[in-house]
Amino acid sequence: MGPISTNWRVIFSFAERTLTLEVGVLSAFLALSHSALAAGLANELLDEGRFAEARMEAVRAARKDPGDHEARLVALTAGIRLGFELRQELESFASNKEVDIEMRCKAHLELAELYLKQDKAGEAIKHLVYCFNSTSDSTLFTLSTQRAYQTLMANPDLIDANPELVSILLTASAGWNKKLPSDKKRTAPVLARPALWAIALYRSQIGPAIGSRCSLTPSCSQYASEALKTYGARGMAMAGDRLVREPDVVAAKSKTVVIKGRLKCSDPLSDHTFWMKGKKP
Amino acid sequence: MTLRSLIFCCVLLAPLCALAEKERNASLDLAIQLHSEELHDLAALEFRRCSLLTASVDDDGRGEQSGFLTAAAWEYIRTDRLDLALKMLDEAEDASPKARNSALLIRGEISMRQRRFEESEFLLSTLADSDAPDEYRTAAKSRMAIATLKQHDLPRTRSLLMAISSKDALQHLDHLESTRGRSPRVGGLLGMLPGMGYAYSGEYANCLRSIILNGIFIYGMVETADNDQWGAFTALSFFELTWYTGSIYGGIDAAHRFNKRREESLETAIRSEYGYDLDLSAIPSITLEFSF
Repeated sequence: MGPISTNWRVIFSFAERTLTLEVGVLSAFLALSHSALAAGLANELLDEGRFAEARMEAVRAARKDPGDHEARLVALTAGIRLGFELRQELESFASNKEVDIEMRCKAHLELAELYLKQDKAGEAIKHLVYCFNSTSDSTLFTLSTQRAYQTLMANPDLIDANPELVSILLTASAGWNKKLPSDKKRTAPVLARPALWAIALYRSQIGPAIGSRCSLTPSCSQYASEALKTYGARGMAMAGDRLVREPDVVAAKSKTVVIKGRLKCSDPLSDHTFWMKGKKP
Repeated sequence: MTLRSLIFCCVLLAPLCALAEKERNASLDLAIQLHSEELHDLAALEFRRCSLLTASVDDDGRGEQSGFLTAAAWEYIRTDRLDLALKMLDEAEDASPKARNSALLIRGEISMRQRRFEESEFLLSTLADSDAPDEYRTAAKSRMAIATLKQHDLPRTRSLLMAISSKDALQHLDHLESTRGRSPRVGGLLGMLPGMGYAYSGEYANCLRSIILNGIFIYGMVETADNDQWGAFTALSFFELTWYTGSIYGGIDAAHRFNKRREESLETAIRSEYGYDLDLSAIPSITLEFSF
């Protein structure tokens, strides 16, 4: 009986240690998973372009677990997209060696975008080069090389300063299977431009002087501007129709909304273009 | 020794599980409150959080996740975030097949809002021909009737309304069939005579305003041309061009508006006779409240 009971004791002891270890790991996982889930939700919201909610979620996750670098990065990125001045915080995040390298690369890409918005292409290129040299993520690599290529093409003086970079980027371009995103802003058709200038003049000089008079939302000038930008010269006809219809829409009061404490009637362009084929606003 | 381990497990795990449960319930309460305050976007976010806080190790857990995601989709529809609503429905169906019937019905509604009526009809017919409970199939048929109405297939609308024995909606359909629609082409042609396009679709006030505006500006153009005031003539021509083209475009749009209003009265009748809503008090269980 003696040796058998000793064996059982060894087995029990082993089982207990294994169980304790498993429970410990599970507990740690459960404790961490809460903040990880919140950071996951924040990331999803960031991808959906809902920056205020993404920042709120990420800050919540980062407060729960100050070591959650992903949450911190999402909070900073969302904050920057919302227009907060967080460049220094993002720079210190990007240079923090304790942070995972992929997250630092993402931070460098975000910094590059920030510098590009401020027309500091030289600084942006430095961050992009760091990003595509250090990342092992294919999406991040493609994004950063594409952005670097676009930046170089838009700033020929940078090509002279970085001749070897162009050949690197041309080699990387073999892996691009997506069309480069265009930086071009939507330009209004030529025929619509005189009318758009007139509307811009009204909105900047006359509108503020006489105050908001339109009872509809969007206002007639906004409506006309949107129509001209989307449908070109046809937008003039839409604007004319809107001005004729305005009193009828106001009298009907079918879709009322409160904007800045004023009751307005909703009459969006989409209500009058649903039957059109092709371009939609 | 085993007892010691068990106690250790209970002491360590129980508070964590209770904490998760408490956090989820708090999120759910907040979501329902936000819904009642009509802050649907924020309510959807809370439902999504509830879904993440729900453990999905077994069928019950996945079913609950699916319920929260369906509720989030429902909230997004109310704020017209249709892309997000579809994303939530995808996730709800991935989490559990229990969401299938409600997801099909909601997808049909979303396609209709996106003016993809054929797609909507296909989705709803899938539900109507399935072995789903009767209420779901009736609701699907009622929405199919709306989708066929939007495609101007009135015989099919009639057969669907007869299949669900809808007397009120059938009366509206009779009325719709007895009144003539307006042709946008005729509206546009009549619009070449300022204001007549509006008059064709019964918008007499717009017709009068269009006649007055066009009349004043044409008179102004003639006068300025007679007096060799070409600067003023150019400015007046620019505005007259706007009123005149506006009259043609308005004639076409007024005809479309007229036809849309005719259809909307029938659509409203169907929706009020065969209404349904997601019962948020039953969440995480997916329960649609049918009012017919």
